[in-house]
Order: sequence, then structure tokens, then C-alpha cells
Amino acid sequence: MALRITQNQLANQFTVDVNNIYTRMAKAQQQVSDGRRITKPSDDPFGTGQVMGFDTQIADVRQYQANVGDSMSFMNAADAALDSVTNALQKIREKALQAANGTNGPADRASIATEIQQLKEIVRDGINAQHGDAYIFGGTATNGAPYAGPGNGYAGNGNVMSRRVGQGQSVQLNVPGTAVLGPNGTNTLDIIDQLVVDINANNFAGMSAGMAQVVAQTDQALNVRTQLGATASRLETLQTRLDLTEERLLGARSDVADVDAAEAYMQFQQQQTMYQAALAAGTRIMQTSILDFI
Amino acid sequence: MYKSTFMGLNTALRGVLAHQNALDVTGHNIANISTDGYTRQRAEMVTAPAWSNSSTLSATTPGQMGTGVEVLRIERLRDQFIDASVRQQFGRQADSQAMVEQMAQVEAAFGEPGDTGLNALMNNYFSAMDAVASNPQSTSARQAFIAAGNALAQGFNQVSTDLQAIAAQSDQRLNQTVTDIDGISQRITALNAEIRNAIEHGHQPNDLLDERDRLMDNLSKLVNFTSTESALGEVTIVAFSGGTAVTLVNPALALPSPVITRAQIDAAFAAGTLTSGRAHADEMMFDPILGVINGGGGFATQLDNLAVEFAGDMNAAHAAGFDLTGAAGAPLFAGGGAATLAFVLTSPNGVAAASSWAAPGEPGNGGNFALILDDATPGNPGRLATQAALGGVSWENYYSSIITSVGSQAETSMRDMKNADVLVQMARGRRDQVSGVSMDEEMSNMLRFQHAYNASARVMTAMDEVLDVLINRMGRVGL
Repeated sequence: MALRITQNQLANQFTVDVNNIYTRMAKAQQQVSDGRRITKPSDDPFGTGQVMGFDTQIADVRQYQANVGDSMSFMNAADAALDSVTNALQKIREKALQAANGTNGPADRASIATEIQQLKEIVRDGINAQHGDAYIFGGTATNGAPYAGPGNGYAGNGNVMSRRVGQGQSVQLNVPGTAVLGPNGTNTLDIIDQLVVDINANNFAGMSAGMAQVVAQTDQALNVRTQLGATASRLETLQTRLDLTEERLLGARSDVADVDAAEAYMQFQQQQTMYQAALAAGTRIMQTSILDFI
Repeated sequence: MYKSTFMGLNTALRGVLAHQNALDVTGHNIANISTDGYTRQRAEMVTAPAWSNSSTLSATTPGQMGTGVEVLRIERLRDQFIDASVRQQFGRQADSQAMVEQMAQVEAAFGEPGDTGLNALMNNYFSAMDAVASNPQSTSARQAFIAAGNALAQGFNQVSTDLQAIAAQSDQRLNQTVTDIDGISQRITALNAEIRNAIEHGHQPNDLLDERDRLMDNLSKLVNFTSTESALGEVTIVAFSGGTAVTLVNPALALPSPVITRAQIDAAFAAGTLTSGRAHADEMMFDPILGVINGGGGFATQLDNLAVEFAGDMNAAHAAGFDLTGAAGAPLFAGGGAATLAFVLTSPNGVAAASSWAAPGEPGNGGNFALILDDATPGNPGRLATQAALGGVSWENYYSSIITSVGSQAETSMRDMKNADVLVQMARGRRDQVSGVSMDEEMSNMLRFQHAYNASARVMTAMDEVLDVLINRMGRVGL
């Protein structure tokens, strides 16, 4: 017996087929309008894992970028502080040179000594500089001024403060105050105090020795500045590289997670054409029956 | 001996009646063309018993004389083997459909990939941790870390709650299934009695049989079963197989009420004899041992593993650091699973970011947090470290593998459903080939029967004219 095909069979098949095409068209339409290929894990289980991995890497890179940006502002603050320290030291040397000139009377020397005392406070202020709430030159003891006074002793520690700028990669930001001013007892502040004593005592030998030491301390501070400058330029390079990494990761994520717009639109068009063809053919066949001819 | 004068009239009458009967059946078929589960019927015509001329002397009518047609029975065109295969596919389809619906809910519970899923919350948590490592003296960074920790713990709670709600929903539906199966079984038992009664009285209860077949189709969407039919038309239905078999319908037995219990369904699933129908999908979701949520390798179980391992590692790592008072870090997390995970640290000063605490204090030390983020030594409480309790992967990779398995499971159910749809469509097609009503066929039959009716009536008219000649015109000579 030949296969019997009934009207209901045709109608059922038609409903199922049209429904399938319509489902695919809805999917294509969703992809065209929101641009996402993966909206739930079952769209592509492996791809979802990849997308989540990219999301994590992107979040990390953005945090590294924030860390680098923050580090750069820290470096700027440190540089400005050291700038005022070296300026003050240079002025102290000029004043000491003036004092060592034999034509000065005791009153002149006393006034120079006072000026140097004030410049010393500028040095102290510089080395006690803060970035936000944190003291820059106190090691990791960031909550107290490293040279709080009244003495000249260093109250901070020698620990490193570092920032993460990549997985397992960090940059050392800080320089302990002792690296700028020298060890306790013979640090820049002690030297300035001695210089003031020598000026008041009109001790030429002391003054000239003091001046030499001030020059040496200035060089040491400048060295530290150079060192910080090198770190700052490394941070700039890192920033560029992190920007590129972020761009690359976003691109890679998009390759996995997003649809190719042109292809999605093609798909949509194709489904639409199929949908119309199915409707046209189906309705035409179903309309005809033997009743039209009886 | 000669045949009756009026025999021709009777033969014509049989033709008229039989074709009227056939037209009635055609009308019934057409009227039921859209009825779910309707099986087309056909008036099966046979020649009426022939009339034998018993006289050997007669030469006028040699052999037997036909006496027309009669309708033997109204036949129901149905193939039981096709029914069995259709029901098998119905079961698979109902199973995979329920699975797809529930897996969609599981996917929604996890919310990946997206900004609200646990992956994003974990990223935020580690970013906040990194921000503290970089700015340990900043109270706002510490507060942001505490907020991210709270959000992460709540994220775990939320996913866990949603997953348990899905399992509970399946649990409830399984209880409902017990009631549904019982209802269908009762109705089939009642139909069995009616059908037997009709058959014993020599009737063909076509429409009752259709109704029973329809009920069995519906039953196949709930659980898998086998059925046998007796000579008297009664069916016996047994759900599952082997030691877990449960008799749902058997006219010879007094069955308990309800005919099946929830424990029996659970036992059949555990034994692997519950293989299809909605009950199978619900057990897959609900079962605490084999299910995809709370079973051994289930999503919720894995999430609990992760929560426990992560909380323990985090607390250990935190205890190795120093907070702003110089004390060792207090626990960050509490709770014994994803549902109860809580971030218990409340004070920003209690965040133990420092790796050392030399007097007078190191608020600028973020070494401990930096270590957590960079530590890759297996077993250490580090972000990159592999953990034996998680099967040798890191926290984040473990979570990622949970999501991949959720996706695969949902994808598999989706594929199963598409396959089942195609197979159901094919099986239904085969059933329709045999049992479906074709309008064209019925219409051409109608024309055929109508013409045959008319022709039989015409034969009767011819007979009438013959008899008219015989009765009214013959023997009138001389009248």
C-alpha cells in the first residue's frame, strides 16, 4: 500500500517546520539586535569558560592600570618633595658660602644661621611629605612622619612599599628617608645643625667641611630623584603596555562572545526568506482539497 | 424449487442499507478529523451469505445465488506496534522538555556570563584586594574590600538558594506526578471494564478504545511503562521493570490506592529503571544522590565545595597577615557551604593586608594581600594555587568548570529535546499514515458510497418495475 498522507499530518508537519524556522529566526534576530553570541552557558559551554577567563583577565588588567595610575601620582608627589629638599639644600650651601665670607659680622652670621635653621625645616617638611594619608619616606610606617622631631632621628622603617602592576610583577615605590638623608646621627639634618653651630662660632674649617657635606647630601638626594625618575618612566611604559593588553583582551573576548554583525544579519535574512517560503508553500497546499473539485 | 420472487428487492435493500451505514461511518470520520487521538474507522463490507439452490433437478439457477452485501463490523484502523514506539518517543520528549526548562532556570541562577554572576563578583573581590595591597593605608580601599567580600558571600548564598528552589520545585512536581498517574490509572481501569462489557456483548467499542489509547499516550509523558492487552480487550499496565516494577492497571488484581507512591518512583530512579517521562527529568533535578543539583557531582554540591575551600583558604591566608592594630587577621568568612557563607569582617582596620608589623606599625604594608594574589604554590591559600580538595585546580578555574558543566548539561538536554521532537514527529506521522483521517480519502469514499446507494436504489426501482409487470399485467388475458 502506498503511504497515506493525511491533512492533519501536513498541518502538523507545517506547524513544526514553521515553528523551527521561527525559533531560529528569533535567535538570529536576538543576535542582530544585541550583538551577543553567548548569552547563557549552553550557547557554547567551552566559549563561556573562555569568556569568563577573559573577564577575569580584563578585571585584573584594569586593576593594574589603576595601580599604575596611582603609583604615578605617588611618584610625582615623591619627586616634588625631593625637589623642595634639594632646592633647600642648595640654598643652605649658598647661605653657608655667604657666612664663610670673612667680611660678615656676628649679627650677619646670626641672621644667616637663622635662615639656615628655617631652610632645615623646609628640608624636614619635604622629607615628611604625604601622598594622601601616607607618609612617602617612612617605609611601610606610613602613619607617622618619619622625621617628626624634635630630634633628627628617623622614625620610619626600611621596608619596601610595592604596587602590583601585573601577575607576580611589582614595582617598588618608596625610598626610606634614610636613603635620602643618610643614617641617623650623621644625616642631613644633623649636618645642618652642625653647620649652624659652626657659623655661630665663626669656625671656618667647620663651615667649609659642612658645606662639602651639604653638597654631598644634595647629590645623594638628586641620586634618589634620578632613581625615582627611572621608576616613573618604567611605570609609563607599563601603562602603555597595559592599555594594549586591555585592548587585545577585549578583542579576544569579543571574538568569542560576540557575533559577527554581517554574518548575523545574513543569517537573519536567510531565516526570514525561509520563513516566508514555508508559509507561502504551506498555506497554498493546505488550502487545496478534493472539495474544490466536487 | 425456485427462489423467492422478492429476493431481488432484498438484495437491493441490503445494498442501500450497507452503503448508508458506510456513509454514516464516513460522516463520523470527517466530524472527528481534528479530534486528538481519534482513529479512523471503516465499515468493513462482505458479501451476504449466498443462497444455495438445493435442488439438483433445477437447471435454472446453477450453483449459488448471491444475496448482496452486509457490513461485518466497523473496523478501527490502528497499529499497536506503532503505538508502543510513539509512546516511547513521547516519554523521551517529555523528559527532555522538562529538562530543558529546568536547566534554563539553573543557567539563570548562575547568571553567567554576565556582570552579576559569581565570576564578576569574584573579579571584584580580587580587584578590591589588589587595591588594598596597593593602598594599604587607605580606609576607603579597605571598606571597598569589605563591601566586595559581602557581595561575594551574598552571591554564593543567592545562587545556592536559587538552585535549591529549582530542586524543591521538582520535588513538588514529583508528588503531583503520583496523583496524575493515579488519576490516569483509575480512568483506564474504568475504561477496561466498559470495553470488556462491550466486547462480551459482541460490540466493537472503537471510541472507548481511542479514549484509552489517548490516556496511555498521556501516561507515557509521565513515566515509562509496558502494556499488554487481553483477548477481552483489557490492558494491563506495568511501570518500570525488574525489581522496581509497579503495576498501575490490572483488572485481575485489587491495587492499592494510590496505585503508585513517591517512594516507588524514587526507587525506580535509583535502580535506573525510570528512564523517561517528566518524572525522570524531575528526579534528575531533585535526586540527592544522582541528581544534577544535589547529587555527588551536582552543581550545588560543587558550589558548596568551592565555598568551603575558598572560605577556609581565605581565613588561613588572612590569619597569616597583620591588621592595623598589629594583630593577626581574624577570619574573613564563616559558614559551612554556599548557602550559609558569610563575610564576617566588619571593621576596615581589621583587614590584615600587612605581611609584617614592626613597631611602631606598618600601615603601608600590603604584602599579605599581594601574596594571596600572586601565590601559585600548590595547596597554599593563593589565587593561582591549585587545591587538592578542588580536584587540583584553583578557585576560579573550579568555578569556571562548574559553569562549563552547567552549559554542557543544558546543551545536551536541548539536543535531546530536538532529537525527541523529530522522532515524535516521525512516529506520529507513521501513526497518522495508518490511523489519521484523510479528507480527500473520505470525500472520495463518500462519492463512492453515495453512488452505490443510488445504484442500489435504482436496482430496487427496476425490481419494482419487473414486479409491476408480473403482478399488474400478467394473466390478464380475457379480463
